[in-house]
Amino acid sequence: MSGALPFLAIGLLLLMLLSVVWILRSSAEKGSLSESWEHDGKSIAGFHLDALPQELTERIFGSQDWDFVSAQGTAGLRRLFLQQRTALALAWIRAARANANKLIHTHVTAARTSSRLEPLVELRVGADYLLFVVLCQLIMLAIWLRGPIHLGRLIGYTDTLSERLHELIVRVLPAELASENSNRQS
Amino acid sequence: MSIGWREESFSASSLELSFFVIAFCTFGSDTKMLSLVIWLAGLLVLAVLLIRGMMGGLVRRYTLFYGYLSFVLVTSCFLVFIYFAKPSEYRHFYWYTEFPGVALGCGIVWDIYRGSLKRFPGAARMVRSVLLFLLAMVLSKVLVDTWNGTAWWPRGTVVELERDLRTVQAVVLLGLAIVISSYRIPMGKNLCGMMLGYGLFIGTNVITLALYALLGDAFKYAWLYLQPLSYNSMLCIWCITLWSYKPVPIPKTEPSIEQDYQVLVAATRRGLVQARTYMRKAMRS
Repeated sequence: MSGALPFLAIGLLLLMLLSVVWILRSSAEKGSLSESWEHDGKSIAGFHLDALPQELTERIFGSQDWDFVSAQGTAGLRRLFLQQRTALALAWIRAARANANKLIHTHVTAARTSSRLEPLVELRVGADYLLFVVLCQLIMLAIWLRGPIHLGRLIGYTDTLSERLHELIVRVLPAELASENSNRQS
Repeated sequence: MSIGWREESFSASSLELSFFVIAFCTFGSDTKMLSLVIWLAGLLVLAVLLIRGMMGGLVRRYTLFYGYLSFVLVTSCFLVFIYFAKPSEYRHFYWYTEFPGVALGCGIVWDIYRGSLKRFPGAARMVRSVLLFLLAMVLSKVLVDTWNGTAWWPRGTVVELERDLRTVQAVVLLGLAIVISSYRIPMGKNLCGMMLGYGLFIGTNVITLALYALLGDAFKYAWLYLQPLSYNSMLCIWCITLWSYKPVPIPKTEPSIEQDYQVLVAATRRGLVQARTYMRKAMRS
């Protein structure tokens, strides 16, 4: 059975990817194609994430409100507060991920026409993006499991995990890209 | 690529064609008639495709694709003749025409590559790199197998050989599809249909051939119908999507980043690092 598995996996993967190509083509036909071409190299250089106000972010993930509700409220109120705060936190993460999607979408739209494109650099950008998505997913899982309050330890763990993944990818990539990575901002 | 009406013994472990007999001989007359109808329907759709291609000027644009279709039509007609005139020789001719068909099928991938990526030199460069990497992996496997003293071709049946060749085609198509979907390359209806149809056929073929090689006779009946079904589905997809010429959509504005690729990469990476830092900071607040 194990001998047939790679063949089955390749066949299934091909069929799935073709479905993706077909869906992308259909969505491009509906007008998203023209939107994607509105970006160019200069606009991406000036691109920055549409961040929510820092004060609001601190309120969503901070313990200030929770301390107040747990001191004053009943069990039902606490449950309701946690439910609403969880929904808000998840929406915040989704918004951050949507920003990153927008950024990478702009990147591929511009890079695909460049004859100077460097495949390994593209791989590096793709890896960075994937790691960000993985980080988002892990944090969403943590919020879903524990709620958005007192996430410090869990977030620390997911962060370490994504750092390890990052290091693993850097080890696989060539030396010049790895040194570039060591200079990146943290 | 004609429909393979064959039955074989999987206890056999050689490439000798004498293990193959035509499936018609073992099935009842109803099944035989159904098989014949499916076969001839495929030929008819193939002929319609070629006629439409010639009428709509598609032949000039997708030369290799229509060259492949012509080859398949000629060999299929030849096989029909052989089947009725000299049934005992059919199995030999089937396999003699099958493998050139697999080789010519690569022309379809080339037409898709050329047609969809001609305005996207960056994505085309990415495809070349991905395909070179995949080719290097396949060659490495061949070299390692040779070094270990095993033959580079499968020592099993012809089905296993065809499965391996189709897998190489699937891997090449996979590489192309990955880049096309990642870079959101706009494809016209013609090229998209070409890719979808051929990919469906190749993907289904790899899966069914793998299951046939694994399960043997238990999968034989399903395989004998799944293969012509996927082949005819491919022809139907091609017939719908290649009925007339549909150009690849041209973007309204072309990005002018020829000089600024490094700036673009730096900006993207800075943006991603910024997003990550922002998230960390928020979580720790």
